[in-house]
Amino acid sequence: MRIIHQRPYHPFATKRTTGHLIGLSIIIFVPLLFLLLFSYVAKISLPSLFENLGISLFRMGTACIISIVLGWLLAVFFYKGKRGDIALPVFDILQSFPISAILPIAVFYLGSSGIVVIMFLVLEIIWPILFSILSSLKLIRRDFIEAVKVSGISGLDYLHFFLIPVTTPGLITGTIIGLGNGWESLVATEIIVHTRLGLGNFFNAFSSNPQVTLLGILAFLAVIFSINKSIWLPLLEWSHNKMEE
Amino acid sequence: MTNKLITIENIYKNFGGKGKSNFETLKDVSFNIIKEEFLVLLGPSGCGKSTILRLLSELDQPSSGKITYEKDFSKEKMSFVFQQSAVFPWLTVGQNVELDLIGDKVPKEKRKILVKEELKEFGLEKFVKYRPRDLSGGLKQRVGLARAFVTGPKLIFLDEPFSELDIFTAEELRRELLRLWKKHDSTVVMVSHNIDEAIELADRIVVFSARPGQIKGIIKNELPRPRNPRSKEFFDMQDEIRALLKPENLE
Repeated sequence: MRIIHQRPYHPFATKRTTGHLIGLSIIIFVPLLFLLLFSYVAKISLPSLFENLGISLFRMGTACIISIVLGWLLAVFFYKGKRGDIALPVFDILQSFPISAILPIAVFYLGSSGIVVIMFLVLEIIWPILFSILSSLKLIRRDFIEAVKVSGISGLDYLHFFLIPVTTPGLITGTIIGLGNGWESLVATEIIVHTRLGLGNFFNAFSSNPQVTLLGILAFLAVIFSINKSIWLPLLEWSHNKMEE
Repeated sequence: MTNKLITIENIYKNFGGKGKSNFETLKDVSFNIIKEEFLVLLGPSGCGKSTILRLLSELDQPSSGKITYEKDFSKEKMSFVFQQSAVFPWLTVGQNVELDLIGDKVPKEKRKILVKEELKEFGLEKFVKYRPRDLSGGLKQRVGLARAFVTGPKLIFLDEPFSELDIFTAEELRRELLRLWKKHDSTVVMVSHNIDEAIELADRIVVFSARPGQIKGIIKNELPRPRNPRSKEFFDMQDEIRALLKPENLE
């Protein structure tokens, strides 16, 4: 018998090297440094800065969770059969719809609330998630589908042992792309909606001061980079490793 | 005959339809599968051998014709071994073997025991926590076989299970398969395009024509086991099958 690699699988295996720890520290401290600098230059109290940043991150996080749940459910329900034949062209049209064009109307009817921001963020984030999961589902090997049928697993076992693992890589890839769209829209949506709190409010207030705005953008980018580097990229690598044959 | 497990009558299978070109894969196929026999379906690529396995295991439906199972046979007692093993990369070796037992609602404690026994049977006990990507092709196919045998199936379908393996590993696994078939008193239906493999393993060989697959002949193989591939009888049988598979006979 031949074994290619002797590598028992451990679900919580992590890299524990000095380089890894230094990298992790940089990921955490660089955004903090930028935020402190921004707070100093813009003469904003730290609690106020963190409150506004926290609110924006909360909106983004909520929109992301709603998009993941909704995108996954829609993809699983509509990926094949007659339902799919009808729904997929509709999704394709909807994803091309210029959402920001109806933002002022939504504000007019629903008011300047954080919920409107979340709703519009969902409409920005959900499409890449939905289409990436659809692509994962359509690319499942035929013999995998047949092996699952033969095994007779159903219900929660089917979800746990098959459906969730095969959709996870698509979900993670889609979420990374979706969040890219989301970060881009977050500030703009908050400015248009005129929310009292949030980063949009900040950038709006400092629009006449390019230096502070630039520093704010750099701090914002550092936060996004940290989130991607510490959460999404390791998740992407983990999911691809898991599917490696 | 009372020992028939499955009767296949006038099966036709077409693929395509509705906006796609329609092509006939199987044409008027009829034969029986006898209890506890080792049956090999042999024929050129694309003649519909694998399609028959999918029809028999109810993974697909025939366009017309009838497949009848013996009255007392429970369809839960069927299992399937795939050409590329179809071992799930996201599960460990142990979880892969356990999957069919979960499907059969076997209690967790009993599952643990059965998986352990089956892994030992296939020499995989060291690899219980390994992921399939860490195993060679032969070991992966062993996992596929262990998954199929763990539930104690009475009917096993194998779709060219050794075609992607090197000759030494394939030879070893063929011996293993014969041992397990006898041990479990199960019925085996295997697809192959390898004449020597068919003669080495089968009690009966169903020879198919090129697409659309039709039965060219059913050969009874009564050579004593273990079969000697250098014997005159083995060569005679090869010639008999080759004659059926000649291009002019396949048309």
